[in-house]
Amino acid sequence: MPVSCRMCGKSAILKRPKTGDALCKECFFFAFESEINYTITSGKLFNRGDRVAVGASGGKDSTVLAYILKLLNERHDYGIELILLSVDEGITGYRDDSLETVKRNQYQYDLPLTIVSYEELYGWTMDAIVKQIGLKNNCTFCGVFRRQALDRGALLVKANKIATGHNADDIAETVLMNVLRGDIARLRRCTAITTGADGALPRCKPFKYTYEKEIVMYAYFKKLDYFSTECIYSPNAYRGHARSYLKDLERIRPSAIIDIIHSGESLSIKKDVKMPTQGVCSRCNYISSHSVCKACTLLEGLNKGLPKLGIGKTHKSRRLLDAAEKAGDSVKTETENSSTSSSTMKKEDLTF
Amino acid sequence: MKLTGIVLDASHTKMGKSCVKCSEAATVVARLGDPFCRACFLEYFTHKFRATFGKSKAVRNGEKVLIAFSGGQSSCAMLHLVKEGLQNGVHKKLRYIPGVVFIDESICMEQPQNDKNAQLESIRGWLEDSSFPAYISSLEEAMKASDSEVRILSVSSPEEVEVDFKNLKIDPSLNEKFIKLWHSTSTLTAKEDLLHILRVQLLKRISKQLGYTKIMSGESGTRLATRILTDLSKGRGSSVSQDMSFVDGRDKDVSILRPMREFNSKEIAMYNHQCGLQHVFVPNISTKAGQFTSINALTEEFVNGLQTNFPSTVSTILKTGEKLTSQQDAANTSSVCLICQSLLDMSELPCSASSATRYSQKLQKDDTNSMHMACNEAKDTCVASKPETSSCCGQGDGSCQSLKKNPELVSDDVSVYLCYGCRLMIKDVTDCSTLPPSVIDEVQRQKRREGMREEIQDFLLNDDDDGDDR
Repeated sequence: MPVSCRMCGKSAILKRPKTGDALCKECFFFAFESEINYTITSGKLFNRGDRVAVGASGGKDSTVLAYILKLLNERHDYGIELILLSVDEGITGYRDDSLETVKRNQYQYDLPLTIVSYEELYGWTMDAIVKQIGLKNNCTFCGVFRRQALDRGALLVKANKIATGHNADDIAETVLMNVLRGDIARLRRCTAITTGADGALPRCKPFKYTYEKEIVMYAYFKKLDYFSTECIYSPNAYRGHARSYLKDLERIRPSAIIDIIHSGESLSIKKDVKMPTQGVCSRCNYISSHSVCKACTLLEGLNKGLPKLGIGKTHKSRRLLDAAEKAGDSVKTETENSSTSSSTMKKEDLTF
Repeated sequence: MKLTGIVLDASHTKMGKSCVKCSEAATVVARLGDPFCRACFLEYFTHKFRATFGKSKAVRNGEKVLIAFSGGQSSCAMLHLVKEGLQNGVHKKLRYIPGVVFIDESICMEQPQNDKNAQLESIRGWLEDSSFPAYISSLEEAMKASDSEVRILSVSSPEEVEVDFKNLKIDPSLNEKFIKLWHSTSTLTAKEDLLHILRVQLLKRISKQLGYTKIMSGESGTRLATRILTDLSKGRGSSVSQDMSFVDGRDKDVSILRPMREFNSKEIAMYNHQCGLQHVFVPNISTKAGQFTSINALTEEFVNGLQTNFPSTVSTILKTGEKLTSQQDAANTSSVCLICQSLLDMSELPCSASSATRYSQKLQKDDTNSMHMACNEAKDTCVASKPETSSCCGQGDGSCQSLKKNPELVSDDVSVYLCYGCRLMIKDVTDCSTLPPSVIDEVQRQKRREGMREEIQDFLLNDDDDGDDR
């Protein structure tokens, strides 16, 4: 028996994951696009004249984001300028392939593309970092560096805003992760739709209320060209637990994802809880809650041959660095390194 | 709770583990590898229990405190700790006056009558053993209208010694009401929520009726960590703080205390084992249900799984929860949810999860005209629709209750007065007229008042003072 579309009455071809309603293709496109437009306008994500760098990885989220921002910008006349911005982490067999997709998107959507690479920014590719640090903790480097690389790239192309493809599932997962890790400062920040308005470039998430499944669905029916492979270095055990818990929740109650975001938005934090104060890194002037930002610490560790520096607790890494500098003796550094590594090993699943 | 591997037998103690406090041979390992001998463990446990009270100063001398007893591990330990603390000769004797209550929830379960009677018999054993004033009530009583008294059997008074099911189930109409509500609730998640809410409501009514001002609820730290995550998953983020703190002051007259929150389930099981306490196994609706049948079951599995691999999971989650607060303390004047008494958290901000959901629903309900809906119009959808003005016989004070004659309550009518989480729960209740009378009556009352307010709107000078104590 054909099911008819909830909105127009024609025969439906899909069931919306978000609401459970049966819709035809056209009505789904309309609903999907209207909702993104609603998020953008109600959240005041863009102002006329903005130059927006769209973080493009070649994956489904960013591909759909680039497509839909271009579409809505023309349809509703936001008056914004869009630039694709990609970060090349230097992961052979993963990023080089996905960048090909971005390069194709550049022509398909007629948007300028800029690629910044870890190699030119930091002098290290992820391949080289993994050789140093191994398959554990490497995501810490990649994540910290990528955050800064996007900002630097955006400055390079003279953008004044960054839009990323984080979807509702990502945000709900982050809420759960921050509870599990006890990171109250991030728990407060993570549900904001625009972040970093003070200091760095503001970043916004137009897909904040969009289900991952619907993004895939949209890309599928629009036949958008995207790259889907897991990062070859990615297995991150602890986050995987949170992710599969979220997927199971969604199975039990599909609205759970948006419900978690609602919970995150309505949390209020006790006044007497100490929050990290945001300052500026003394070395690179990037925003940081410590005197030296994480990226600089990690980079210092890499360059000094102490890749574990900056992983785990701050005071431990300071001690490690002091010891290494005082000793100047490579043998001692070696033992120190291995003795602390066991204590940092325990933490590492929680640090990313 | 498995005890294998936790209680060290003789062969393990040979490996040289001695108590961290007194260097006697250790018999138990409390959290994170601290071995204790039996005496030190019991002392540590008792001290922690008392310290939880001491820290908060919530209970005054001579205050009447009602212990909510379920028969489970945690409430058995709690009852035992209170009893020990009141014994003569104990250093720093507890200063409050305890009573104990058991709520029979067997109506939710299909069980042979014999089993039910056997469970009740063991429960009665515990209650009588406590030597406190002890009461038994049953869950259906929560379906009684809010102005009538609930039925409470006193176990300790001699004239009512015959406590059995014939005595408990006295009013078949309540029974029927409950069953109706139960059957119109479609998901296990909503059933569990409903059960929890009804139980808490009933406990509060019982304490008020008996003159108690505090209720002691035996949720363990493990249970509360799970609660934090389930709250988040069910959109109850704003009540996390009240749901896990030592004092839950949502009700002005009776507050709920959680003195077992500093213990995880493993420690409690060890305490019971050391003291030889035999808890009563009372199956509940989630017993034997699969992991994927409800949010609670899934979350419990998730937390326990993580706790096994990462032993700091429960305490980290609890610490995160402790840093949260509810705005309830700050803003007393704001309105609260009719069902769970939490602050209403329906954000009217244009860019929020709740408005995004409303927008999606609106999109799909509207006909194709909405294709051209401008964004400004969309904002209108953010404001929750106000209930329509009701017609009254003319008395004007709502006393005629003309609405009562028309019990056609749809879930939208009720939802307006509920928090986000309770709205989700109500969505799974197919027939809203089956909700407890206490809720329905309050909805009707609020509706009448809003109608009255609308009528006199033009003559009101001050917007803030609406004469409503809600």
